Order: sequence, then structure tokens, then C-alpha cells
Amino acid sequence: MSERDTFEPKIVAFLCNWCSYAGADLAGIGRFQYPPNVRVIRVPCSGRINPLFILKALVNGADGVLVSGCHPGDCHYLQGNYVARRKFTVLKSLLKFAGAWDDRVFFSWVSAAEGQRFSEVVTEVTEAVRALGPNQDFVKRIPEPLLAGLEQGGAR
Amino acid sequence: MIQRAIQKLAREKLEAKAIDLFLGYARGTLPGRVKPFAAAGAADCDRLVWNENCDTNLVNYLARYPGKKIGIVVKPCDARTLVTLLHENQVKRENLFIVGVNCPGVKTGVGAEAAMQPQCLACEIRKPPIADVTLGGPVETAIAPQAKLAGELWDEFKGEMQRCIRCFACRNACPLCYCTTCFAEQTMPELVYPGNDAAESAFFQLGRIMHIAGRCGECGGCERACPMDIPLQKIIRKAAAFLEETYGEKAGLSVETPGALGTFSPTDNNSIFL
Amino acid sequence: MNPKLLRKTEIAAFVQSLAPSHTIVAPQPDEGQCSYGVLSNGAQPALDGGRPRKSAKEALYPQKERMFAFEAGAVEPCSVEPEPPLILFGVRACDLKGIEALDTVLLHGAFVDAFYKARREAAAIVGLACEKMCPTCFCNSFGIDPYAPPACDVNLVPAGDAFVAQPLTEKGEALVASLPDADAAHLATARKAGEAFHAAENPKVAVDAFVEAVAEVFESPAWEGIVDGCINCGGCTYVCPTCHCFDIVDETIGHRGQRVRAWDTCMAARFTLHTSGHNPRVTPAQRLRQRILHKFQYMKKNQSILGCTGCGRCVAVCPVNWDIRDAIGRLTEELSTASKA
Repeated sequence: MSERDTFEPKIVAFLCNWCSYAGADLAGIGRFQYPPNVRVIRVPCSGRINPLFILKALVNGADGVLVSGCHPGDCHYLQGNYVARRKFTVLKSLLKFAGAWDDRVFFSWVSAAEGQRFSEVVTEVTEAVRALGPNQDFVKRIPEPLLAGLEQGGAR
Repeated sequence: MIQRAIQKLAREKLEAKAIDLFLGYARGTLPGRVKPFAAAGAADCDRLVWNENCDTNLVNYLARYPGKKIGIVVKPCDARTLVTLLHENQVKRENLFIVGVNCPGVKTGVGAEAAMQPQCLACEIRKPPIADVTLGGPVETAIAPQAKLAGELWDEFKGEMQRCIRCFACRNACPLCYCTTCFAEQTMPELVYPGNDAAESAFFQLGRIMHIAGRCGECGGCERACPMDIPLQKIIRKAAAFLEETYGEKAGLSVETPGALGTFSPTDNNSIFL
Repeated sequence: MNPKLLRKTEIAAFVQSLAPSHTIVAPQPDEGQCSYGVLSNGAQPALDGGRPRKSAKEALYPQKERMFAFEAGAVEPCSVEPEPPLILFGVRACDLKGIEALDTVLLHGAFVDAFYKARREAAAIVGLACEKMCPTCFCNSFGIDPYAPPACDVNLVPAGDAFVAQPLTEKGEALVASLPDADAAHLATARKAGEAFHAAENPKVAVDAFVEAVAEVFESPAWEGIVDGCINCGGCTYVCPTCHCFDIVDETIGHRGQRVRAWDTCMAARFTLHTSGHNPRVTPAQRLRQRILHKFQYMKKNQSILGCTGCGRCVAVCPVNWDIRDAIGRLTEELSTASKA
């Protein structure tokens, strides 16, 4: 089997505490299945997400990044997601311009009542990233130590 | 003549003790180069020069003299960065005496070899948006408006990031990069490790652009400073063009209004969201 | 050792003939200038491209070097045996002097840098004499003569349609053994090139007087006076043939990591930042002082060599036209006046 066939993307999901994280919870309660490829990081608000978080996740080898927050108008902090929307729109356009990662970065609005939608979003993102294959350009690589001749020290 | 007018203004203000120093340009050590120069007394004012090579953005030096009253020469693009700094409360307007110069564009080189710098070709702001005195006659706008088109893709981006030596000259040359600790220099956690990996250079450059977008006055200082001649303005211009097109805002024109990324509208474009 | 002849039309073939057993590093075109880089198969070195953008030190002392790798409790030291030995082809005299300066620190000092040593000792170095000085060059101020270069294995001297390849060591002789002997006509042309170079030298900078003036100086108001527009970027130190300061960091992702040594620059605030948060060197003047004193006082005292070779790259890349030649002149004047007073 080629790497393509066995490839399971690693996706970092930044979810806002008030909507999308609760939406993910609801997906669990409602037994809506979604691929286990996402690693969720809970943040207070989509406005809290510094573009550097997204870029750093990709540099460190995430195959995709999903950012999700409350629907426009529903922000717990009233305006956080409005500010975030502009920021992410610019980020996406610049990534596209640089030809770096733009198709690996996803944004969505998922409310606390949209458990099913959360599972759909994650499925969509996972399949899109799976189709792209592993994140290879602009990834920081730390080569695997050769296991032969290792000096053992400390607990593994 | 502009040079004489600058010298005269600087001398008057320094003699009257209205300012503590005057930031201008002095003759450089290479043909076609000038160096930033701070005149501290009337006697220094004869050294002030003005010519088509005066490219350095002097606004970058304002932070070096906290509390001082400063006279400064600004071109329109420099003035735009100054407007951003004023909006962000980084400098006090009452401490500044701003000599604006209407700018037909700055050049690299002298005589027959002189070439217009890239940011000037498409520049539409030829008159400083902020100044106490404005020198020079009115200037036609964009010399080559097609140069404004940033294109859809910087296809050399990856190659250029492999060339980046991360000397941070682009950041240090930028008046808007005033963070006391840059994200590229913070150590806990270490976001950008030392070295020259293309991946981290891309991370740094894209991260920096995101900090500059919506604030940049397009002075071209970053690209000029680059010892590797990486055309950083490509992405800077793309960001500016995108913001203007999408949100109808151009950075650094008014002290009262925040940049495009400092504000929002409930009806903003929602197309990137799934 | 007999001078050999390398015709310009045969350079690519000659370099190619060396390549199977070696990695060739040579100047290559780079955005209107040239840069030293690993020569790909069949590529032509850009020997007429002027002074390369960065110095040749990078080939022997890369900007980033992995020292060892680890994974959750296990450590694997990196091999210090480099891949195929290097041939540095077409190295300018200022860079040759720079390698000599690096040797004093990394090879002949109290601590020997194993990575540098392995690469350096396996490498063969082919110098290249300049036809003329760039406007920013001042290597002549340091007594560097591209036609009688500092240590290299072979020196190439331009001779019209060819280069005269003068082997200077046994290693160099073996390297150019396959080339024909140089004929009298080409030797005469090469001699003329040397004469033409020396006739059109840039004015010298009074380096000796400066070294004497700064020999014992540390605290002085003179440093403030030379800061000018310096914005404390690291461009000058990264293109410098002798700057060798480094930082050591552990890079980690998850359970895996590596310790790397990477170039650092005394122009950056982080260079002297302590863990406590205290930074003993905070002003641009203090940082410039470090750069200048390291080159002209500390290295002179500790390594008996100057840390500047007059390559002029720092002058060329400086975004604000901070010119070390100018600073040397002004400092000499101020420091000698101050010591007399």
C-alpha cells in the first residue's frame, strides 16, 4: 500500500468555547460520528486565534487546521468573531498568494446546537485534507533518531 | 529648492528651541546612498540633504528619542506609517514638527543608472496625509498603475524563503514593527528557532505580514533592507490591494480611523467559511 | 609547482570531472548577483559574477547545524563525518582570509569544533583572484592580495580566455594535475591582470592606526557618536566572512527533538538576553561596540588575527548605509584625541 492509502491526516481544530466546542460536545451526545483525525484545542473565542497559531500548527506538521466559532452575530463577546472574520479572510488570501497551505486551512461557524453540522464539517475537512495528502511544503522536520546505537537514558 | 527649505526650517526650529533634534538625511558613503541623520543643533543643518535617493523611512527612528520634540522629514509613504503610529498612540503629535515632501518617487542609483524603486511605480499617494509644512510641487499619481497589480500567485515564494537568512532587517527597518519582543524573538515558547529553515522563514514572513496588514504605509523599507533582495513588497502590496478591494480601506490616511483589520462590519464577506 | 591552464570553455567539464568524489561549492547566479552554493550536475560556476552575496564560510560552517537528536529519553549523537568532501571552487581572497580567521577560532582554539574540523580538513579550496575591486571592497587595507592569496590549495588568476591555476599545496597539485601547463602568453596575461588590479585599487583605510587606537578601549563616549542610523538588524554579521558567534537551541516537536547550533548575531537584543530577563547590552551603541571590538580588539588579542577582511559586504548590505570604513576613520580620530586629552 502506498503512503497515500494509509495516510491519516492530522488536523488541529481551534474551537471557540461557547459555540463550536459545545457543538462538538453535542455531536458526541447525539452520537453523530466524525473522523477521529481532529485534535481539538479549546479557545475562549475565534477572535482569540492569532494567525500565528494556525501557521505554527502547520509548520510543526499538522496536515490541516480548522478554525470554528460562533455564527456572526452570536459571539459571546459580541464582536470577537467579526474581527476574526476579517483577519482570517486576509490570512487565507495571503496564504493563497504565497502558495503555502491555503487549501489546508478551513474556517467555519458552528453553533452549540449544531452537533450534526460539526460532524459534517469535520468529515468534509478530513476528506479534503486526505485528498491533498501529507503536508510537505514548509514543514519543519526533525529527523527520526536512528534507533540503533542510541544511548539510553531516563525512562522512555 | 527642497533641500534648502529643509535646512532653513530645521535651523529655525532648532534655534528657536521648538524642537530638540531634526531627523533628515545626510550624504552617504556610496554613490546614490544617503544616510539617516539627526541634526542636534543649528550648526548640523548644513549637512541635511534632499535628493531622489532619500529612501530610508525616518519614522523608524522616532521611538529612539522618547519625550523629545522632534522635527522630521517625511515622504507620503513615510507619513502614512506615521499616521498609523499616531493612531496607535506610539508617538505624540504635539512632540512632532512634520516636514512633508510631495514625492515623485525615490530612486536607486545615480545619473543614467538611476531606477525608480518598485513601490513608487504604483504609488497613488503623492502628498503626505499629515504634515505641518509641505514642500515641493504637486505630483501626478501612479506612474505605472499596472505595477499595482499584485498578481494571483507569488510562485517563487518557496524559493525565496529558502534564501531568507532571517537577519530580521525587514522587521528592523519597519517603523510599524515596534513590538518590544517580536514573536520571532520570544523564547517561551520559542516560536521561531534560530537558523534558516525555509518552513520557519515562511512562518516568520507570513506572521509578520499579518501584523503589518492594514497598517502598512507601503514605504518599501523591508524590501530595500533585505540583504538577499527578497521581493517582500509582492506580498505587502497584495495585502494592501486585497484590503482595499475587499473592505475599501487604505492604511495610514487618517489618524482617526483604525486600519481595515482594526474594525469590522456585520455584512463583511463570508465566503471563506464552510 | 607548475602553473596550469584552465580554459573558460572547459571549466564546466573540469568541475564535472571533480564532482563524482566531491561536493562542489561555487559561485552561482543569484538575483542579479552571485552566491556560493552547491553546484548541481553540469552547472557552470559564475566566476565573473563579482563578489558573492554571502561569504564562503557557510559551506564549512553552515547557518544551522544539527549536533544530536533525541527522542523521549534516548540520545543519538550526529556523525561528524561529512558526506563527500567539499571543493570550494572560486573563493575570493577576502573569504580565504575569513576561513583563516574561522580556523583560529574553531580549529586551533582551546575547543575544537568537530563538525567544522571534519569538513575543513577534507575540503580543498580553490581561490579566485578578482579582476577589480568592488566599490565597497577594502581588502587592500588588510594587506590581502588576491594575486598572492591567503591559504588556499589552488589559486585561479584571470588570463583572458582562461584562468591560470597556480597550485599552492600538494592537495591543490593533485586537484589540477589533469590540466595542461600554462603557456607563456597566458602567464603574461595573468601577470598583466594582477598589475591592472593593483593599479586600480580602492583607497586604503587606516586599519593599523585604528587597531592601535581601540586596543585598550571599552567605555567611551565615542561609541554613541558612530551609531548613526544603525537599526540593529543582523544583515552585516550574517554576510560577514569571519563572524562566527552561534546560539545553541533544542528544537522539539512532540517527543522528538534535536539540538542545533545556529548562527547568532551580536546586533540582536536576544544575543545577550539572560534567563532572568536582564539584558546587559541594551543600546545600539553597546551592540555596535561589541561588533567592532570583537573584530579589532578581542580577536587580535586572543587569536592574533583581525576579524575583518575588508570584503565590504556589510557596507553593501546595510539598509541605512552604516559604513564600517567611515566608522573606523571617525573612531580613530575621536579615540586618539580622547587619549591625548
